[in-house]
Amino acid sequence: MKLERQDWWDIGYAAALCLLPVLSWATTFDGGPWWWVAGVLGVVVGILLTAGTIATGGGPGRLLVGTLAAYLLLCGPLAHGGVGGGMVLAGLKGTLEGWPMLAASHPWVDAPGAGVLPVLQMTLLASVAVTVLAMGSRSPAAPVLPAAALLAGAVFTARTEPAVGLVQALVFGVLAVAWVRQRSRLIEGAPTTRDSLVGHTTALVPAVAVLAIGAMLAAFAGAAVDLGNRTVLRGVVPAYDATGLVTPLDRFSRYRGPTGNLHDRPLLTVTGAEEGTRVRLVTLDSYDGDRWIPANDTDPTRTDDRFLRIGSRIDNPAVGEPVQVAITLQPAWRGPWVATVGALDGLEFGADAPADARRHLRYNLATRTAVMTDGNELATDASYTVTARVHDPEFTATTATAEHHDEDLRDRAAFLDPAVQAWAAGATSPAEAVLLVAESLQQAGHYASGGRGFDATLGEQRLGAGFVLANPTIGNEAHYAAAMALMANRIGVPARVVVGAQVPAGGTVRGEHVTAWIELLAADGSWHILDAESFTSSQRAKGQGLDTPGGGDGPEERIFIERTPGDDKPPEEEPVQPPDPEEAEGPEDAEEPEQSDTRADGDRDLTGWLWYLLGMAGLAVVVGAVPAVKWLRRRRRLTRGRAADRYVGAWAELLDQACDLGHRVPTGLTRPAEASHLDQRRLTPLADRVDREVFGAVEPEPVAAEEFWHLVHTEVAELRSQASRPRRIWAIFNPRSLF
Amino acid sequence: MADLELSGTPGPLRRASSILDNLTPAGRGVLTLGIAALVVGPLAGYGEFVLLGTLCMVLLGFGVVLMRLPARVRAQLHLDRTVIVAGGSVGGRLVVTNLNPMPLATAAVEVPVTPRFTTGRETPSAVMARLPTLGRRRRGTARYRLTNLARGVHLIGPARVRRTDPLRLVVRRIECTTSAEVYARPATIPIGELGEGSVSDLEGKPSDEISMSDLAFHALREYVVGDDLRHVHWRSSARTGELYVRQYHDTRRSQSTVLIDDAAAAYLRPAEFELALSIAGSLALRLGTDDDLALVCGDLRIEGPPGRILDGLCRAQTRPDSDLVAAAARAARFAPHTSRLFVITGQRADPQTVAHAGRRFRPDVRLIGLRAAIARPEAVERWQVEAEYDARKRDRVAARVGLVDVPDLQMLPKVVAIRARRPA
Repeated sequence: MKLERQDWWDIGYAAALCLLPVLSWATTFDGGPWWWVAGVLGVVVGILLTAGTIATGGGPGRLLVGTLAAYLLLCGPLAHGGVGGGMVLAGLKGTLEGWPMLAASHPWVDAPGAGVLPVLQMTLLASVAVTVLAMGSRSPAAPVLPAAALLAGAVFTARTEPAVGLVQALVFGVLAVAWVRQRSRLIEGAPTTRDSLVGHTTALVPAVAVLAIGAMLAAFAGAAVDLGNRTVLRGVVPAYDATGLVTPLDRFSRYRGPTGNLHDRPLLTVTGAEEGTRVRLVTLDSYDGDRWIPANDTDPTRTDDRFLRIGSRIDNPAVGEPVQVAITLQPAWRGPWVATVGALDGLEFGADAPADARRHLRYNLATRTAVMTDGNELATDASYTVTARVHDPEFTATTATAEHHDEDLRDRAAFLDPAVQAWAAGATSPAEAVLLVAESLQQAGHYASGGRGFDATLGEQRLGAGFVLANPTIGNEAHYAAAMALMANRIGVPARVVVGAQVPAGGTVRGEHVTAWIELLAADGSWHILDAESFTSSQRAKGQGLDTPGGGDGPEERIFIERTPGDDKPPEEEPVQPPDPEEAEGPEDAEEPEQSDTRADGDRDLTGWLWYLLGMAGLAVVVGAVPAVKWLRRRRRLTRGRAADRYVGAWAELLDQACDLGHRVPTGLTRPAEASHLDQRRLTPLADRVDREVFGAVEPEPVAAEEFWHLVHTEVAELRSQASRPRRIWAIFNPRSLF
Repeated sequence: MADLELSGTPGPLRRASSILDNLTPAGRGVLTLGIAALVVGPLAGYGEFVLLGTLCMVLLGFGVVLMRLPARVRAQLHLDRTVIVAGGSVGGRLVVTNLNPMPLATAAVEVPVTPRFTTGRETPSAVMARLPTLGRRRRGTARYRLTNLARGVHLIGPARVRRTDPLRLVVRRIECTTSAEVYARPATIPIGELGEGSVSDLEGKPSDEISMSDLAFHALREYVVGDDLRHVHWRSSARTGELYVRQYHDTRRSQSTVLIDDAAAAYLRPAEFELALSIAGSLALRLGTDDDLALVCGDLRIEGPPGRILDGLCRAQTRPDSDLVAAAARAARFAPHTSRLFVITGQRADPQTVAHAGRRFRPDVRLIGLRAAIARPEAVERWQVEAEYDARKRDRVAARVGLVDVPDLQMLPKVVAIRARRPA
């Protein structure tokens, strides 16, 4: 078949409509125009391949094989970043890892790499579909639909913020309608005469005018609509769930208290950071009634508030002073949490970190928390360098606080209402209320670095009746920060707990430096720090408050006296004995649940994957078993035995195919009788021929048997063409003829 | 009751479906794209798709509004010929005058063709032609050609001007002419020899009836007002001084009747019936020149000049429940003076029926049976065994009855000549 004029038009439009969506990925990838290379290659190769296959009379089988071959050829260099050794392996590995990398990464996605392979896959598939429909379908609009699907796919897999804006959609729409119009002219069937050709050219003028006016109106309408958040794949895929992990807040007394022995031991060595820079271990932004946890999707105003993969560079919207800090883990450090500084712009693992460390690293842009996935904790002496921006504003009475967005969290803090109402009375703004409550908490409380039961829970009972509402109020930074964050939330200021440390002189962070502060959300979207010192009491608790906080005979209830403006006197406190740090022995069994917890989570995740893979494999087996068995049967019949057997096999194959197509042929009949049950006129000669060959005196020629198979194939095709399309498709999977 | 309610004022559903009818395939495609985009856009928060959907809807809305504007055209449908041979083509032109205040841009003209009396399915089709852009009050001509018209009567028109908006999304069809008919006659072939009697019968058998215009002279009589001056016998008139005119014996000419079996079961395939009609047409052309001819095909009775008979054949159709013998009885009443009877049937007909049909006529009527039996191609080998047996049995009976096979129209002259030479 020679390509006609319309075919060239179709190819041109198809290329334009498939290339436009590629622009959507412009802001998703890092490292040069690899996304563009992948997209253009996919589109150009897909279109040329399809057009070539159709022009040379190839069928769907050849097209499928060609597409697969083209993909296999292209995926290597794209994943590897050029032609070279390891290219093939990179391509195959990238095919498996590409989608998780593109879908579950914060932008930017590393390119070249596995992340660009989905771009190649989508553009290749879409351009093949568009070209097949353009050259094979009579419907004017059919080929536009796969192109629109590609646009949707590109937008869905790109980052949340549109890369090109509405111009892209406008151009796409105009081109799509122009193409549909152009195709409809061909399909209408009216011949074009010389007269009408002149008319055709003049008719283009109003068409262009109408398109232009329509585009303008649509642009106004489109720009006026505010749709809120865009649904993108990275916002929908299940993010890494870190809520089950044991956090430093849960085991806080290990660092400061007597139980963990980490007080004097170096945890991290931080180089390149000024003294006093805050190192963040974990941010806990959700309270489940039992403990503060690092959750996903806690900030409705952001879409990057989830634990996703990161590439070597991160497009972080945060502001601040750029710093580069190298962090080395010390032997005492354990746990999945990756200490960072500020808001990350990038994280590079050192040579002594595992090669696939990045694959297991997850980062939450909103909470600035990095974590290694289950069972992939960084080993001792592993080092990494973070590029970040540091801006840690202090929370003051004048800070304009944000509206609270998590009613659930607010409700959970309701048990602290007596304290909040009493301490915040008289405040004129939420910020002032927070500071008043912080001050009162500090004044009312006592400090104990640890004791039996300290790490058990930070639940309502412990933080309410056992801490804030108890007299005396005894706890460590974890209790103070957890309670303070809850109370701030109750006041109406979004607050979260951060466990971290301020870099000491020399840069070696020991357990004693680890502290817990809270961060409060300002109206401008930034988080302001309320340091532990502003709400943690420095007054050491005495004596009894170690084993069971609040004393042996149950905590006494605190009596709250509402403060009136001008009355700054703190409520009277009975002095309590400070706890003796050496007296209480650290419950070492605390380590055990942590371990098993983590492993259990990892197992669950792995099991999920296993089940998923098993399920997919099972599905493939179930779906593919019947066609596979039939294929085997056909091969056996075609190749096994004498030539006469192949005649019999051909006839049996014909009957089985007819049976799968829904024809009912009773068993135990002669072949001509079977033929008369199906299609007497056409099939009786075939049946007669089989009988002749099988019962004849001379052994038939194998070549003739092969020819007879062709005849049978023709008849089967005829039978199939008489059946409805669903029937035909079902015939492929119909197991009836196997029994 | 339900029907009454349904046929009330057009509901929104019906109005929507009428709008859908007025969309071109392109329009339907754009509508699909628009709806899909407007569903996806707000659902996923994609401004791109909201814009895309809006664009589609704006363009469609524009087209709908434009097509609602009044439009008037005047047109005449011309056909080059109204009679053709089956399988042939006929050209035509449509002259359209634009009465709109606006120019009519490259409107397409749709000329529907509805085949009737054809074997096979009577699905209407349409040919398209394109007009040049017509200015205000300008006239344009669109030429079209209808090709490969099957035997039958084809209803051409009423022609419709398809007006579309500039983007060809919405269409409006304006019927602007009446319809015309094209007769696609069966193909025929000239036949030479027609058998015994046909040559000697040129003068016919004289009868006792007197005629004013014939061959056998009877007598002279006096001229009366109204007599044709051509028959005045001038020599006698001159001798007597009064006008005398010649009188003749009326000649009984041979009357032929062609009876076509219209039972669908008689024919192996539709093409055989067409062949039967072609045989009948060829016979009609040959016989009509010197015989009186009557043609009967089921309920259809045609007589007259050959052209009329051929036109009549355009209306012939097979029927599932036809009876050849009953048709023969009707033909015998219709043409009682038949001297020669042609019975044309198909190869699946029972030859005995042909013999029965022949007996409905007078015993002295010469019966010539012809079977339209298109040679079975390769498929014949696949003919089932019993059917083959039946066919052979039929063939034997047919030979006894005197049925002759005509495998092909080209063979008809030879077959007829051979048959004619054989004694009755």
